[in-house]
Formats: sequence, structure tokens, C-alpha cells
Amino acid sequence: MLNIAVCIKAVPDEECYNIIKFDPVMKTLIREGISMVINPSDLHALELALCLKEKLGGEITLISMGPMTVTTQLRECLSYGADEAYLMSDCIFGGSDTLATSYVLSKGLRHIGNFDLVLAGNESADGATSHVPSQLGEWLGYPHVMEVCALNIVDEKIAAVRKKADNYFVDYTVKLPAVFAVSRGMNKVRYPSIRGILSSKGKEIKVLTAESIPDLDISMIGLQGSPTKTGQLITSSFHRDCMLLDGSNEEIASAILGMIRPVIDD
Amino acid sequence: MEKPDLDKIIVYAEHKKGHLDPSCAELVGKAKELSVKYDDNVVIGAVVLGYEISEVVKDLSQTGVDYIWYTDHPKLTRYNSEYYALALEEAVRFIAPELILIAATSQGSELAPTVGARLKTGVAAHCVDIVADDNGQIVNIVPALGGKFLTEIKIPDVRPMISTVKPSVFVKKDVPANSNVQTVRIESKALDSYESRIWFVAESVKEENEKPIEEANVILCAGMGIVDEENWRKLNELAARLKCAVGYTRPVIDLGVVNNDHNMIGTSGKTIRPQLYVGFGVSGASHHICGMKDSQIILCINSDENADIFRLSDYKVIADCGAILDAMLELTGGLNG
Ligand SMILES: Cc1cc2nc3c(=O)[nH]c(=O)nc-3n(C[C@H](O)[C@H](O)[C@H](O)COP(=O)(O)OP(=O)(O)OC[C@H]3O[C@@H](n4cnc5c(N)ncnc54)[C@H](O)[C@@H]3O)c2cc1C
Ligand SMILES: Nc1ncnc2c1ncn2[C@@H]1O[C@H](COP(=O)(O)O)[C@@H](O)[C@H]1O
Repeated sequence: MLNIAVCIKAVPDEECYNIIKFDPVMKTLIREGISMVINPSDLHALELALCLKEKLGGEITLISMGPMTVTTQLRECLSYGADEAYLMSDCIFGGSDTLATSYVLSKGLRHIGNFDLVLAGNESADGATSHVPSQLGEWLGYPHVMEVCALNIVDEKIAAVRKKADNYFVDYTVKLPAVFAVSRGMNKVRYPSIRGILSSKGKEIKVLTAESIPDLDISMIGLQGSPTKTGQLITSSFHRDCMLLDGSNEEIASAILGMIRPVIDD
Repeated sequence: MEKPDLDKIIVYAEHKKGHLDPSCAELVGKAKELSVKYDDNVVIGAVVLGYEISEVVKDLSQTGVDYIWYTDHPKLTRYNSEYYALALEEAVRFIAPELILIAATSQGSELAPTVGARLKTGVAAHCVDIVADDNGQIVNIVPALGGKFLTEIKIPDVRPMISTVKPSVFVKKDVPANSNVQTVRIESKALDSYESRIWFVAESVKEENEKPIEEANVILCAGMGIVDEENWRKLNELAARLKCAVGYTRPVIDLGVVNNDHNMIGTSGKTIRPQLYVGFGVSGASHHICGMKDSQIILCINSDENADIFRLSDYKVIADCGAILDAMLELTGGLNG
């Protein structure tokens, strides 16, 4: 029986990236009409948890820190077959950077129970720092491995993992409990079953506020607990004057080759 | 406001099989550039970890750094996130720099947040630039929302600040070697007594591509407009004939024609700045642009005349990329030859 926690983050839908507008006066994003989705790589972490549970038995607990609207994404995750979901939501968590976020998540996990495995996505689609999994491991005092692309449980105390490192792979065995960040390539995400969708509707999503956690150090969370301060957004204005290459396919091909040939590597 | 102190910048010097990672020179170049802003009163150091690394230390002394701190310990024979984080943390506490630059390689991407958490300090991830503002504050420019926007990150109150930078984002500069480099060995007590909970088992042989894509002069990039395996094969044939490198966008991996993501270009892949980038059916999503926008000449072939990529291109071809590929193959020795 494995106790698995999966970290879920809600992020703006990738499909909306090209319609996200920037208010040049307020220097903020216009979030109107931007729908939120489950961070894509978190679904791969959830898929891994589901496979492990099917094979070895166990419980899957979801945890997310974010606004109350994230109940939507957590419910969706429950429909895949997770057992429980916790949303850490409190206005004083707002403005947390990765250090503060991972602190809050670590406190939440400690409060909820004991886990053998804590799984996360390898990167969030919006921030994409890939910091939270390692930092969560540090706060929990667990070993942690990023970019995990294969994982097996050897016995109750040890996992065998394969890590994708730059352009090669490294295999490790890791003492549990541990934190693993799952990369996209690990598995194909299933679809939720009808039964899963129906049963998720009745499940409660437990909300944890700062007050729910007695030993939470307020100085470590939110803006004041975040060493990094984010400044203004800058629109990256990439633009070049573009010339049309016209003519028959052969003429075009010859023009392109004419550009390639002088600069090819020797 | 008084100028904040910036006395020491250190670069984490990654190395593999006795060779310094090229990112090391890129980061030293940036450190030198920053130091000018502080009237050159900044010590630029490097930290290097490993076992029996005297050769690496020697190479490092040629990069233009003023100081080298190194930990030489059997437990550092190969990268282990726990031992390396421990040794790096120890070195940083000893050196007390204001700023640490780490390459966002696989290793660096793990070490930076880990050491950041241990020191309870801030880490700016994947900086595309690091500058000093008029008040002498270090400002990190990082991509937000997949590179559609950029944002500034400052770490005003806690030291050291940590910044990670993807390889090839900074251009390597020729920094003259300091003839008076100070080399300091750090004896690690913490390593002696610590036993890692992560055990190395095996490592796959690194795929030795003839040349890393970052170093290629010409890159042919496949986007989803390549459509199928047939066109992918043609593109590779063309690249082989012309001796150019092949890169691709992320969804191309899902087509199943490539079995790794080593040459993926963009925020989650490589940053390239070749002399010529030729895009075949690339739409110009922000995630991709982030990795290729600094190419010297950008030429793109797309059947959609309104494709976003054209706004960033020097030359555009509005056509089916399969047909252009055929024509190019024909002119370089025939379709099947
Ligand atoms: C967190 C995250 C990270 C990401 N990281 C990366 C990354 O590092 N790199 C990356 O590339 N992507 C990345 N992506 C994906 C990215 O958002 C885009 O989906 C991707 O770049 C689009 O690839 P594309 O241009 O090949 O495909 P598409 O957007 O599908 O575009 C295909 C283009 O081909 C054209 N076309 C179609 N048929 C033809 C034809 N016969 N002839 C000519 N043209 C044709 C179409 O008009 C279209 O413009 C990431 C996404 C997320 C969420
Ligand atoms: N607010 C959050 N709540 C829950 N999990 C998170 C949160 N932020 C990040 N994570 C987890 O950490 C992973 C990496 O995120 P990041 O470090 O932001 O790139 C994500 O894929 C999530 O699994």
C-alpha cells in the first residue's frame, strides 16, 4: 500500500497564450476570458500515481495551493481516480514565489499525513521555473529527483528511477519517502471514466487555510516570505521586416539553397 | 539610494569527463560585464566540485576568473544531487558571494533551487538577461507565460542572489585570463559524514551527435507543417546532403518521428543563434520563438500567409513545405539520390 501525494497546479490554458493581452498602462495581464486548466505535466504525475495504485494498491491525495477556483481543476483530477483532494487557499498565500509556495505545500503535506511518494510535474506551464519539486523536497527533508521519465517501486522503502539528464539517461535507486518530478514523456495520460466523473462530483475538496496549520510560520509565506520580487511585465516585441520569396518552387528552392550554401559548416 | 554591495560574483563551473562545460565561459563573460557597472571592484570567482579535478581547475584558471574555490572529494566522483548540493552550500557559506550564476543544465536546474532552499534565498530561473540598474540593483529578466512576456525579478533583501541561465543564452566573450588567479581548496567535513539516499545505478551512453545543435551555422527546423514521416525523412536527407543540423518544435516529438527531444528548440528545449534558421511549417508560438529569435537570418516556409512566425522572419515563403523540400532535394542531387 502506497501513500502517494500529487501536486497539482492550475495554469492559464496554453490555447489562450496568444490571446492574452497586456495592459500597457497598468502593466498587468488582462486575464479576462482566460480559462484555467490543470498544468499539463501534473497530469503525467497523476497518471504515474494511478498506475502505481493499480499495481500496488494505495491512496492518492491531491494537493494544490491557489485561489478557491482551483476546486474545478482538483475535481477534474479526482475524476481520473484520485482519492482525496486538498486545496490550500488563503489570501495571505498570495504572491508566494517558489520558495514560499514549496514551504506552504510542505506544511500542508505534513499536516495531512505521511506519504511514501510525493509526485509533481517537472515544470509549470506558466512560471516554468522547475523549482517547486526540489524545494518541496528540501522543506520536507526528503531526497528529490527532477526529470524522472521512468519509475518502479523496488520494495516499500526504495524506488528505482530513470532521470533524463541533458542528452542521456541516468538510473538511480532512491530511498523513500522522496519527491519526484515527472517529465511529460513518461506516460500517456488516460481519459477519466464516466464512473470517475460521476463519483468525483460528490467528493469533498478539503480547504486548508493558514489557520488550519498550527505551526505555519507566517513570515515564510506570501509576499513577505518570498525573496524574489517580480517587477513589471515587459512585452517582448520581436519583429523583423519580412521579404517575400516568390516564384516557382524551383526558383524558391534555389534561392533558399543560395542562402544556405555560403554559411554551412565546414 | 546607496549602491548595494556587490563584492563577489561566483559562477558554478560544471564539468563532464574532465572538460569544463561551455556554459562556464558564457557565465564568466556575463559576470565580467556586470562587474564593469561596479567600477570593476568585483571579485569574479568560480566554484568547482568533483574528484581528482586538478586538470579542470587548471582549465578554469584560463577563463578569466580571479578566484577558484574547489572541493575535491571521492563522494563527488559523479554528480549526485545530495552530495553536490551539500558541497555547493558549504562553499557558498564559506565564500559569501552576493550573486551566484548557474547554468540551467540538467544538473544546474536541480542544484540552483535546492541550494536556494537551503540558504532560504531567491532563485531567478532561466534568465535571458541579467543587468544592474541605476541603483546598482541586480535585475534578472526572465520569460513569463512561455516567453510571450518578459518580467523583471529582483532579490532585494536576501543574499546571495541566485540566477540560472540556459546554455547559449549568453554569448561567450573572450575574457583574458588573470595571471594571478587565487586557488582555494575547501575541505568538506559535511561530505565526510553524510550518506546520500540516492544511489547511482547506471548511465546510458551519451548520444554523440557529430556536433551539438547550438554550434551549427545552419539549422533546418521542422514544425508540425512537416505533417508526416515522409517529409521528415526528406528534411533529414536534405540536411545530410547540405551538412546542416535539424531541429524541431515540441509537437513534432508527438508525431513519433523523433525518439528524443535533444534538438527541440524553445523554452523547454535548446536556445540557438545560428547564422541561418530555416523553418518548415513552424507557426511561431511564443514557446518556440524564445529559443530561436536571436538567429541571424530567419527564413520560414508556411502555407498560411498570416502565420505568426512571419512577423519574426527576414524572408517568407508562402507554400507547401513538402513541395519546397522536393524542389530543394531535386537541386541537390535528385529526389532519391
Ligand atoms: C510549458 C510548455 C512548454 C513548451 N515548450 C516548447 C518548446 O520548447 N519548443 C516548442 O517548439 N514548443 C514548445 N511548446 C509548444 C508550443 O506552445 C507550440 O505548441 C509549438 O511550438 C507549435 O509547434 P509548431 O509550430 O510546429 O506547430 P503548429 O502550431 O501546429 O503549427 C504548424 C504550422 O505549419 C503550417 N503548415 C501546416 N501544413 C503546412 C504545409 N503543408 N506546408 C507549410 N506549412 C504548413 C501551419 O500553417 C502552422 O503555422 C511548449 C508548450 C508548453 C505548454
Ligand atoms: N501552487 C502549487 N500548488 C501545487 N503544486 C504546485 C504549485 N506550484 C507548483 N507546483 C508543482 O510543482 C511543479 C513544478 O512547478 P514550477 O516549479 O512552478 O515549474 C508543478 O508541475 C506542480 O506539480
